[in-house]
Amino acid sequence: MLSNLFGKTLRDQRWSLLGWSIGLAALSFYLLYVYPFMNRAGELMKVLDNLPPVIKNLIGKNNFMATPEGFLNLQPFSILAPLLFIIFAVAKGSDATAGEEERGTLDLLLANPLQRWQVVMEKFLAQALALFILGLVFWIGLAAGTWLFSIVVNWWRLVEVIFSCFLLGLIFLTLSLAIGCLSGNKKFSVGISSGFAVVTYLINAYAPMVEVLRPYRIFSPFYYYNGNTVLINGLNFSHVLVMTGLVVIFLVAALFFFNRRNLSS
Amino acid sequence: MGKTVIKTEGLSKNYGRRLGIAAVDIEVFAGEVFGYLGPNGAGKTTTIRVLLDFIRADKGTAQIFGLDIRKRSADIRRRVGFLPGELNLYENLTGRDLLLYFCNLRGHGDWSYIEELASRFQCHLSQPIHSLSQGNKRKIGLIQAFMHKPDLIILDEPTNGLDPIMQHEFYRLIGETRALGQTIFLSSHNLPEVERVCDRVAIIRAGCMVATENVSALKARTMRNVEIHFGEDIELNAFSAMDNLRILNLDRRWLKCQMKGEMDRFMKIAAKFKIIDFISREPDLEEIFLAYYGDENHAQ
Repeated sequence: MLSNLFGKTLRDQRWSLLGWSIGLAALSFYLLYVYPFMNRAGELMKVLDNLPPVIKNLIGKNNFMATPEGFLNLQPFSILAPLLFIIFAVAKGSDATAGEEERGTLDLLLANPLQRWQVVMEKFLAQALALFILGLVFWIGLAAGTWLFSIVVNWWRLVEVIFSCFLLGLIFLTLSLAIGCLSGNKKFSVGISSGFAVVTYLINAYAPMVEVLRPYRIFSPFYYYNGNTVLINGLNFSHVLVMTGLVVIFLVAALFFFNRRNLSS
Repeated sequence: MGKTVIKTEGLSKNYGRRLGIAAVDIEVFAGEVFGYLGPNGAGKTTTIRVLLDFIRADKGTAQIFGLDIRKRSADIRRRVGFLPGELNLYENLTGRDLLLYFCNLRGHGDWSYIEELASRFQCHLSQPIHSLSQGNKRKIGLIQAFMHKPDLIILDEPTNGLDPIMQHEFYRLIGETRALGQTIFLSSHNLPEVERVCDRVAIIRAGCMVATENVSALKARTMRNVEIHFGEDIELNAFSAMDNLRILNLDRRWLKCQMKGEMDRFMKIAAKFKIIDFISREPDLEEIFLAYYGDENHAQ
């Protein structure tokens, strides 16, 4: 794994990736274990379904308890899964160059015959692969859980929503990478990226009820992530395109910033 | 002189509030050990970081091996070994893993040479780096700079944190490396070190070049502080005829003076008297600047 920068970056996150994978698999099993109890609690479902739209939009979508897909769309795919993917992505993206710059190891790394774009690309690719592995483990966990607890869910739809979650993660991975490449400051990158996540999440969550916010919904990555309720309706191609476009824009920005930066010692 | 390896012209870097470098001109030739001497904060590290393209100069040009340091940086670094002044290694790796990783990034590495260097510096490569002392980390830093036998080795304050025995081993390694025709660019704030290992030296102060000299010329101009405690009364005018001597204090049994160049005549006069103690101290850099280059460089 020490044969190149890509391998070294992947090696560095092997333990955190293992921890996150175990956590996500456990979460999948837990959610599917509790679903039948929720499903049987008909009265509770009625109460939840009768909540005001404002509350329902904040915690998820409408008709969330009627089907396994509706339940999973609420929990974990409305808040928990995107949040976990974003936390993982921002932690990795902001550490890629800014973390190494702060720890003072970047000088020694760049003393080797590497181009600067190569450093950014190899680190990005390794972290994107880690995020992909996380998505794969999550899918395996959920698919195995539905099989184990005899819950009928369309596994292909699960692939689609987790892919959407992966793309959302990539957006925040490249955003935090770009801010790290611009500033060389890991905390700054984490702060700005997290702030962006919170603000755009709230815009997307309130937009259906608040007239004035509605036009701004298209500026939120969360709208493209699950505005279409992917688990029920499938991926929206144009949404995937927008998310991929954002990833490319942020990645190009990261390459541009890092290439012209005066690295701190 | 050999071919030019490093050439800078008017290299300047302005950090705004912090001091950078101003109009640095350096020319280093193949096969020489070139010292870059200056006090801490003079701009030595800034110059090196510009040369390696970690930071970009505001003005001036520089080539290494005749290649532009901006456009051909990766090609240059392929042929350069570098030891940073402030060394930070990957703490979670062992020394062996770190060296293996850097060999892989370079595409080659001579493990028998690495083992030889590790044994010379008594360096334990199998231990995790986080468990090593600063001195032992420094040894790994030195090995990674030399291991691929590069054409040019840039060392920023290389003996910081090395104990005297390892410093001696390091000076031997420098000599062997020069004998192989490799070029060494070595920054230091330590005059005796530069005098010991370098062929030529550039002196930098407050970001500006003060002079570039042969080390032998520098030695001849170096003012040494000498104190002698005599065991008998001496004649007060015994040393007065020497023009390379500046007497600071003299009573009948104590002489405090500054001495430039050869000491032979001075020692022969002193030896006529009974000597109890003799102290000779290298001047520090500030004293050199004051004694040789006057106050005009002070202002810069």
